[in-house]
Amino acid sequence: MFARIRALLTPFLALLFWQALADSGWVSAYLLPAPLTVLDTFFRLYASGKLTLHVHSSLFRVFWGFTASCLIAFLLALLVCRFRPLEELLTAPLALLRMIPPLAMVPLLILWLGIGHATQITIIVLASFFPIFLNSCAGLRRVTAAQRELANSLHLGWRRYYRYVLLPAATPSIVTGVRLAFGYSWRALIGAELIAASSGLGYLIIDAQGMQRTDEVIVGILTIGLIGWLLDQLFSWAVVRTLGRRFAELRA
Amino acid sequence: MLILSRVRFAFAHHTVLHDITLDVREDGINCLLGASGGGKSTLLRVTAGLLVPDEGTVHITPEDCAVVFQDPRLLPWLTVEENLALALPARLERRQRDRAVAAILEEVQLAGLQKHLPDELSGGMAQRVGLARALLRRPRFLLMDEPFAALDAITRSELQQMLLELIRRQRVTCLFVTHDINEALAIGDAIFVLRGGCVAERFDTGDSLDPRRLRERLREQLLEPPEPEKVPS
Repeated sequence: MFARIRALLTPFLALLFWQALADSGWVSAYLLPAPLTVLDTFFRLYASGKLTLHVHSSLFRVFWGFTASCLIAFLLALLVCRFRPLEELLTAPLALLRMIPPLAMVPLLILWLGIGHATQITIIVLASFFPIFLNSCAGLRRVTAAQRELANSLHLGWRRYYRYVLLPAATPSIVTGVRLAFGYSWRALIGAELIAASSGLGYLIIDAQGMQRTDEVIVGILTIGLIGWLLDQLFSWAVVRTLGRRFAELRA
Repeated sequence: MLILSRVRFAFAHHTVLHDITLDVREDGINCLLGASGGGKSTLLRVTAGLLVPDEGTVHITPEDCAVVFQDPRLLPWLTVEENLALALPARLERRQRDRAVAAILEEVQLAGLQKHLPDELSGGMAQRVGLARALLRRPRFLLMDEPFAALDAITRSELQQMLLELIRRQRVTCLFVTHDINEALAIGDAIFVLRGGCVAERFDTGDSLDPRRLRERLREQLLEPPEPEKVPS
């Protein structure tokens, strides 16, 4: 109980400080609107349906982009770990691609795919591919020699080997990769929406800046943080609930 | 019963097994006794088909064998029941599977532990599950690699008794690797002394040799320096 109160203490103090700073008149309301003004703007944007529309747009892109990324990265990791030559062929191009920030691809993607969902979803795939791919590869190599020997001695077919040995051994790594990748993709999406979108939370922010509505900018920023945090908490909760008993590493 | 003929096995350039022929006692416990690094575990793996010999013949098929390793090797993410089910055919109906699992758990005195995870079991319990998993395959040959070495003396003795009963009931031929003379004497129907990658001698515990003399003889055999050139039995 006390721990929970302590955890809320810092945000509460920060809010108080922010409100005091805004009330003092030292900073103009244009540069830093008061928390209560921001709260008011939040309800106004929500009531008008504008906020819901942009949140929906961002979540839609993240959902599809992230799902696609999980599938592509995991399947490629399976193939790479199964076929050595493929790993050798892909090492150099993947190492190069990994060093390119997804946002650097935006100009090209706009040319190829236009401004819209396709560009945003591609950015999400690019941003979240590597954490999932690299962690899946590491996980798929975690089967120990002893576990392989056991599988051989039990004469497990490849289907049972994948289902009961290989994939469970890789699960903690994959989960870590997916969680990391979600954070990356959420941040990259907002970045991409700031540059090349006509809807979404990133667009809401850049549009509000154009209209000189700093309060709306702050509403956008806080909504991004809040949704990202909520989804991350939801993911962790679901992981602990479904996998925590079987995988001690995921309980923490 | 002849299970290995003139088997030779080497890791890289280091020969671990020299020309081994093994004629075991059927439906009994055959102990492979030897010091650490003497090739006992390698011999067991070659017999189980987990390693392929460089020369010689293994006369039994891997499908007829089940292995119990030194550590129980239960998959930590599967429950006891799921670990055991891996030893059963994949297409078995759920009801039949449950029945087989319950029956074997009863045999190893772990009835009702189906839903437990391996980290909820003690070392002795986990090794019993390992034994149950091997027996579920209804093997003709049960190959055990120092299965009780990591257990305390009381648990070890309990498990030895349990093994003796199970072997008698299920009529399997057991190859039991150990470095402990007392263990070999307690459970072995036949004892093969493995030294320097060769079978140095075979003793049958039913022989007229007085147990004390046998113990001394085994100790002498284990302490003698290895003689790789010696023609194996």
